Amino acid sequence: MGEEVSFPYDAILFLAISMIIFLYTMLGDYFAAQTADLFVYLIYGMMDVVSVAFAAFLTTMYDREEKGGEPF
Amino acid sequence: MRKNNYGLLLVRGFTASLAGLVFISYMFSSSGGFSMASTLNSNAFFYLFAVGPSEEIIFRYFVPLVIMVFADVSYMVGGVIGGVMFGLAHYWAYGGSIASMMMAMVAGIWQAIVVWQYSMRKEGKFTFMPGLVAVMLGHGLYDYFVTTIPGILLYIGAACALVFVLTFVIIHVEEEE
Repeated sequence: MGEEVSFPYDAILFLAISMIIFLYTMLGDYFAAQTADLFVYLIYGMMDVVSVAFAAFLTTMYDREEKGGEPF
Repeated sequence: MRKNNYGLLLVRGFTASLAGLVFISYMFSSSGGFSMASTLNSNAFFYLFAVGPSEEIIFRYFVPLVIMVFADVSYMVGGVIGGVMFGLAHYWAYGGSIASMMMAMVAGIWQAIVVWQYSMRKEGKFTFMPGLVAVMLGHGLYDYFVTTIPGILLYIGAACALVFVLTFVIIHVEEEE
């Protein structure tokens, strides 16, 4: 890695809260949600989970290698 | 002392992000002859809470991180590549318009610069904090304002630029004292 990085807990928390707020407004029918919105929301949600999980995996793996141990 | 102040970096990053996005969209839409308001046609809440934060996590965190790990480069290199990919991904979303795609590319690179500039470094590590939250807020609110009140978008951008300049002046005055 070009430079060492750490896990952005604040951004992940912000993302989780904003996705939950949107789900709440959509399910509570606080606005006229479109079917396309729900479909794209699910795609974004899945991409977010996969991205954050893989990023956490890469960061942990790199940290362990840096400390001289086995990645896993 | 100010270098690792979370709140100050968040305010500066957010204002830089929102002002930059407003001015980039005005520059491209006035020269390209298209309206940003017509490209965003879903609900404002959808952009604010789902699209903005998700796209920033993917294109300003995940893509640059993968490039950093596998190509052994710094964040800015990964950020610029992520910005170009962000533009390409918007080609279809903006109805196949090359001018809109170029605008999204420049906006993506600008967001990467904001993350790079307004994130803390702790023990030699690039933390993404609070730069990533700042660009999430900037992107989400930009989309929200374009959808709801496009008529005063330029004033919002100017107000953000003013706050950004004020914080810059305050920091420099404090440093001189």
